[in-house]
Amino acid sequence: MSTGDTFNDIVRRFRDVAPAADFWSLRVVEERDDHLAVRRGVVQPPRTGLDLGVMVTVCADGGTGYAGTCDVTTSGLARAVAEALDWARCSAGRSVVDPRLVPRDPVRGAYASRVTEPWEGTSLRDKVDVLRAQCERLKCDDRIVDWSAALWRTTTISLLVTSTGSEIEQSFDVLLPMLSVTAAAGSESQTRSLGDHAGRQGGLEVMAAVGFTTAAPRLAAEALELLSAPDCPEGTMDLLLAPDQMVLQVHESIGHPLELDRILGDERNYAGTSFVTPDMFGTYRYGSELLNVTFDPTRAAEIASYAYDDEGTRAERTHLIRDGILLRPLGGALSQARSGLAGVANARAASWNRPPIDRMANLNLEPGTSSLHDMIRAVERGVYMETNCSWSIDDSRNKFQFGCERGRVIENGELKTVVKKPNYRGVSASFWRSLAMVGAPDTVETLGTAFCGKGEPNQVIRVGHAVPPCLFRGVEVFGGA
Amino acid sequence: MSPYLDRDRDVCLYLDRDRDVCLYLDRDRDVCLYLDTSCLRKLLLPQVEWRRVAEIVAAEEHVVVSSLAEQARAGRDQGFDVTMPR
Repeated sequence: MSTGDTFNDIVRRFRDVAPAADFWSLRVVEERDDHLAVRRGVVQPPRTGLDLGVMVTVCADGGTGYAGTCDVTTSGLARAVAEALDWARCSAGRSVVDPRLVPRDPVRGAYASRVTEPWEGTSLRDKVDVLRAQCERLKCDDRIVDWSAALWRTTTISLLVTSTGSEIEQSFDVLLPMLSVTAAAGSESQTRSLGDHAGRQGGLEVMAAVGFTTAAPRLAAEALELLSAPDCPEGTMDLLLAPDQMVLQVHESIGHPLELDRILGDERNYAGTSFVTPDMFGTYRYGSELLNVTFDPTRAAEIASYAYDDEGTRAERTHLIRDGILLRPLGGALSQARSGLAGVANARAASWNRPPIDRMANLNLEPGTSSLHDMIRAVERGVYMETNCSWSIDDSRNKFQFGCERGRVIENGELKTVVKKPNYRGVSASFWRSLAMVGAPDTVETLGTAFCGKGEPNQVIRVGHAVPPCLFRGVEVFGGA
Repeated sequence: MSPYLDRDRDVCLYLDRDRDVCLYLDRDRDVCLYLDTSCLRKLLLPQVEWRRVAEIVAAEEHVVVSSLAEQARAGRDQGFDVTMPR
């Protein structure tokens, strides 16, 4: 992308029409998406998306207004300024918090994803050949009825300029490699995948880092094996979750309930509320003493790393839960001003045409001291579950039911029979208190999702979760769903 | 707290007697305050910021409420207590 001059031109034109107001900001975002896929051995049409636009924020007379536009001419920017100013004046006196109370310290900084193997450094033909090769390895049996390999690469450059002197430029390179294989026999079909949760910041080196180039034979064999596997047993027993299920467990029953705008009631319309209330911070036991959760946008490879959020707050690693006690919510500067609670730098927007709201960014479960072997040996009767495939959770993110692609019975400290359709259910407020063992640092996998949805109008955004395998005692497990 | 809806008038009316807040829809007005469901519930259920929202709404001359008003009315007609969280 030829962003440098373009961004500078936009900022220069904006300054000519910037409003006389208490505060303004201009956030310029340019994004390019590339999708490559091979399905059932057939190369799918490559897709490329290009997007450029700005969000103008104006605070005036105690009100806040937003206006997004992809018309970055001087007249287009002037219209956006006028619209944002109009909204600010309309909302003046009608806000739950006076925007003048939100800190707007001037900040100058930059961030760039670390890329070892740039996307552009490999030809389109070679990238497609990689996908073809993985696809061929997935199709190893006549019972394999659907198989695909794909790469989704996104590069985003954003520039935030404010009336208080902030200027922050950040660029993000993200790669999401995906494999999926479905086996079928009679009325039974089973799918194994490496996908949705395997995205990271970086270039093509991410493929090897997440196992994309080695996983195909294993995934195909496991899908075939599941065809004849018995259903997961039912009952209350120990539950050992692999990292590619822990990612969903952390996301849904820690991440979303701790979003401060949810706690303040903003998201009831759509994404839901939270069982967490403001009075819980500082004292509430969220989980066992082994539960340590951090907001950490500083891990280089994780998918939602950054140096500043979209309001210009500097991002730092912060404990949200320490030794099981709830300490902080996921709340950006605005939510902090509303609630009086200390939060984190997590005001994020999905694109130029959305205002920042409270999001997860990287939300990680800190490692413990156990090896996977230790955890298996500690189970007399239980199930080991891998790879999320279904989720259901109530609107306060409390009662949940999650399903996985593959399970293995654990008996007397040993992995036994492979089982299909493993599921479990629980209640967030009590589930984490049954956390009995947490994987050591070498068991942590850097995962995340590119599809966290929230907000009206909707914002789909990338969030990271670096998580180890974890053992929970006395969980309601069942199969066949 | 006791929301009240008057279907006979050409308005949807919420009357919160404890908080002295009236919300109604005036279809002839070009500009008025709109409360989405999340905001509306801050008036109906005790929670953070309800007082500030009540103050803002009480100071407003004209207010549009979201479709939750219709749902609440339907719930009330069926005998549900729409004022309490479930």
